[in-house]
Amino acid sequence: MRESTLWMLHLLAGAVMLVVLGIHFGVMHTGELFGIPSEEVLTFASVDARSGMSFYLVVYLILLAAGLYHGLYGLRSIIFEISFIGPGVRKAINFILVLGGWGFFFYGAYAIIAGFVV
Amino acid sequence: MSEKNTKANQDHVGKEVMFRVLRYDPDKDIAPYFQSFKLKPEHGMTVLDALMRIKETQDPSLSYRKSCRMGICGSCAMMVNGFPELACQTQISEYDLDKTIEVRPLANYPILRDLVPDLRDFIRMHESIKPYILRRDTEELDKPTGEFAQSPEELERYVQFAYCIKCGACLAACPTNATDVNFTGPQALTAAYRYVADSRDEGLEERLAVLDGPNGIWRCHYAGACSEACPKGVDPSLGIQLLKREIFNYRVLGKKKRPAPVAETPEGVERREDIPQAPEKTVLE
Amino acid sequence: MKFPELKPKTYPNNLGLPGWAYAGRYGFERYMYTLQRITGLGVLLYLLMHLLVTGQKLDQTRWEWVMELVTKGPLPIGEFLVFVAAVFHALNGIRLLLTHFGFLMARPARPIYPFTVAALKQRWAVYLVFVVAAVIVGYGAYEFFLIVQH
Repeated sequence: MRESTLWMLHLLAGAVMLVVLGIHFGVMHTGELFGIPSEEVLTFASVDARSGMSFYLVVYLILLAAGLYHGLYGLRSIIFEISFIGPGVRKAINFILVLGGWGFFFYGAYAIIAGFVV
Repeated sequence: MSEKNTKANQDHVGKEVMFRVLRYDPDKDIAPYFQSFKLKPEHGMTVLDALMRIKETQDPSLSYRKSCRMGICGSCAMMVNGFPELACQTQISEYDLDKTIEVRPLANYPILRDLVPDLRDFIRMHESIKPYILRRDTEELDKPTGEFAQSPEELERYVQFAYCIKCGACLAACPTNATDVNFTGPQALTAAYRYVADSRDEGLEERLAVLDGPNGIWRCHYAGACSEACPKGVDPSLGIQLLKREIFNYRVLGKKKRPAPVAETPEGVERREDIPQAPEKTVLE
Repeated sequence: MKFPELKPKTYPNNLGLPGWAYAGRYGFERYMYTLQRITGLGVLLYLLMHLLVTGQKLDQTRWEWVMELVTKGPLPIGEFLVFVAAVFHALNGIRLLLTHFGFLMARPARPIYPFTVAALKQRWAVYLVFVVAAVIVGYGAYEFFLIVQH
């Protein structure tokens, strides 16, 4: 993919995260806004209840994808800027980051979807 | 800052100023080292004047680049007290004369000798973004029939970025250049915008190979230090962000640019008698 | 006529990583760039660990075991620091999102005195980022330290 496309997705993921991470912070830290008393927000019952709601399914899947992409693209930027590395090493780093990104995404998506389905 | 220093420097009349200059002779030295020189300042002395005085009276082996001594050629860019300046435009009275003035070669360039940086990669990067008007109507470029029409407003869109004197101070300030040897650099990116924003040019596509690469424009994160360092007010960081917008418009929104047409000579207008005709072409077809 | 290319001995002079930390009398934005990077890396590291922790939510015993682990000791304070980092990163990110497309900046004009350097024209956004971040972090600190009483 072209560098400009990757960059535009990075900015888009950042903008999207402003919304979904805001929701996540809102739920976790100021539970009252979302109808959950703040002491209970980390109990298994509350987590289980939220897992079954389709609103949180969508929000968390988007947050997972956007967060991983934005973070790993930023990490790639930093690595590419710190040293003089040839195209072969660059391809290797791309591959590792893509593999790692998909790995974490599947792990997280499994937790989210399994929590919804069960 | 200069007012405070002028007051302090009034007490400094007649005393000597200490200069700490980085020296490096590749044939003799393993690594650069600092050498101190004491100099009696004169009224209106610039850092370049001081270096020339040192070279004339104390150490003739001191090397530096200089040419116009009036801030237009860009040869004498160097780090003075940690900030990239044109030595000919920097009065020593700007600094606290009781403290040492430290002069180093421009950061982020290899050192050739003493205060002389190696600018070859800098020039190469500038050439790689094709710093000339690119158009599809090559016949008009080869055999011009008239001038291209450009209004004063269209000129204002890019003329600020044409003031670049290629001194290299912006690359010394850029944090990406500090770590990335292959970064295109603020000078080349601004020069690219100067041509992209020029209404006569339609060469964004050709330049994108360099601009859109892994070390191209997307490695700029708007630290703004290049604009602070630029001695001619070119404001490279503004040019680069505007170029990002142009690339976004081109890639995502698909905006195509219609380049400036050849200016039409108005119909039914006669030439005044006292205006001479153009001379005969001396270049044969 | 082909000229042979000279290959003189040169000494490398890049500022390197210390150039990110401090390089001279530059304005805020140059150091905000470093801060944005550091906060981004911090949040990314936290994210990867967070995914491993929250992945345990499918089973009650595992969930309660992992919650026991992370709500004790200095870890919640670490989480608060990540919150501070994320707030700064997000707000500065909004500023960067706007400036990267040329908004908030000065229009190109001939550099005739007095002209505004674009960096100075958007300096208000830098101050705004710090002020809003301080407000949000202040509220978060209040919630964290006083209400939840860690």
